[in-house]
Amino acid sequence: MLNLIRADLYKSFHRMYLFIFMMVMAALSIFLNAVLATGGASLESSLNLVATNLFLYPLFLICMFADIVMAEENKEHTMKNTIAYGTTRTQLLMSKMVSTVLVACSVAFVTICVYLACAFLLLHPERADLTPVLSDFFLRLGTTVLIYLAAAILATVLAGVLKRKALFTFAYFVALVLPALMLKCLAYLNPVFVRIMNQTMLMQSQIVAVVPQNELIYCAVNALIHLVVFFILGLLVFRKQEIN
Amino acid sequence: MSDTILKTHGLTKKYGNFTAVSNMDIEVKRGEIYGLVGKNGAGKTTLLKMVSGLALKNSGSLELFGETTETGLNKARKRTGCMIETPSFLPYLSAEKNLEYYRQQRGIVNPSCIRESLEFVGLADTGKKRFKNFSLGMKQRLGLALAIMGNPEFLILDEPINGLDPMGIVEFREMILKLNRERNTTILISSHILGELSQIATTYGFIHNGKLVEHISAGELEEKCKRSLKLKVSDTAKAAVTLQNELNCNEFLVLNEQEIQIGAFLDTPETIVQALVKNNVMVADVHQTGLNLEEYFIELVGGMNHA
Repeated sequence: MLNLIRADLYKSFHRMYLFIFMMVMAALSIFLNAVLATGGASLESSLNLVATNLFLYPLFLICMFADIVMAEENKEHTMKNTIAYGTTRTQLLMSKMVSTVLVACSVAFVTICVYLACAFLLLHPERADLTPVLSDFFLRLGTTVLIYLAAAILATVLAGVLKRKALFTFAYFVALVLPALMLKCLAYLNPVFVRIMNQTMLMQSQIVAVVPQNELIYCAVNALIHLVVFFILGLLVFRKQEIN
Repeated sequence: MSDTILKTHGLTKKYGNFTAVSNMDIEVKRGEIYGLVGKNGAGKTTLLKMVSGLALKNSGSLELFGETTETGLNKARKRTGCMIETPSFLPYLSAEKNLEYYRQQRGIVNPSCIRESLEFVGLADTGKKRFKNFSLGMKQRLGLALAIMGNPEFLILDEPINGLDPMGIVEFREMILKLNRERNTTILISSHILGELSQIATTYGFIHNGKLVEHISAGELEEKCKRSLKLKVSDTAKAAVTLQNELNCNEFLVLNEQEIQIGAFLDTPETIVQALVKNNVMVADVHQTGLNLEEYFIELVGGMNHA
């Protein structure tokens, strides 16, 4: 399976649009901090901005990585070259999941590094000891990463099962948004649905920024449950998949 | 080392109510070029897809290099090369980079296999040209290059000459024969361009409506389709003596009191007629009989359609 992942990384990093995307994300990070610096914002408020407003968006961007790693192969029918060589469907799907996560992580790493570097260079901290602020930020970011991982698994499965790219993207957005939306509507009938709504990935990615630190573990467990469910469902569906 | 590379027994594939492959029993032996002959939709591609693991069988058994379990089959598939339907590659990569992707994926240690494969199929000088800009012939060649990368023992080719120009077809045929002769690669090839197939196959499997209707070696087929002259004569006994004594010909068969079939002098039937007339044997009719692969297949399948 390591060979499959290695090959996927080789393929993905030969995509120009991955680098363009990486550069756009880096440029946005610089721009955001430059604007904050112009407005006289502090370093803490920059980190708070990311946590409260920007943790949600990567959830939607993840399907781009699943697209590079998996959807394109489905569209170009290149998976048959892999399966015909004796790779099992389980190996293929698992390797694609890992590759999607690795490609996403590489972009995230670059973006976060650029963002933090800019924030530290351009903004001034309000307090001398930044350790509690940074540890809180990274704790919340770490929990959010688990939600992203679950989303990456979901996106990869959908990209592998659905032949059309447009359909896969639509299905991914529906899977993210629709449960929360439906439950929000149902909450008008019974307030208990609010609690269920808060367990969806969409809501969790926002809740993670505001819950007390000691409740982050629940968010992490929730994300892991999502991850395992998507993983198992994905394997069950993909194992019966005809490869064209 | 087993002599049988592929063996299927009762292999069946259904898509809903439609049976694409029904109770298929085929056997491909080491060193053979096995030609699968059938109309469009006969079930050739579905069969090849099941062999290569792309489609899942509904029933029956599949044995590849002696392996029958799912794990064993996947292990055996690493000894095969495949080109099923149209060759598919990543459009934004060059030929070399596409093969590099699959080399890494397959864990082939030696990177020189890429150059060797590309040289073998005549694509060594495509440089940075991306797959999406390749002509159909180039795409087919790259498909073959991937299939032969890593020197597989068994090659599965589905309609490999579709869309090739006449020169390309000749080159492709030579490449396949070269692989079979020089590397002793066993080849399972499907095609409905029967004229081409007849020039390379050593064994044939005729498929019709998802069923194998005949399995025959090239020699047996040749015997069945053999060209000969059929003569309607006044006296077959006298004609036989004339053929033996006058023309020193023993390749004949007396069919009945009036008909005789001769396997010689195919291009100069006038020699026979002259000799027979000289010996007072009247010749009422002379015509050539025999079938080519295409005619044989049409007769076989046509007969089934009318049955």
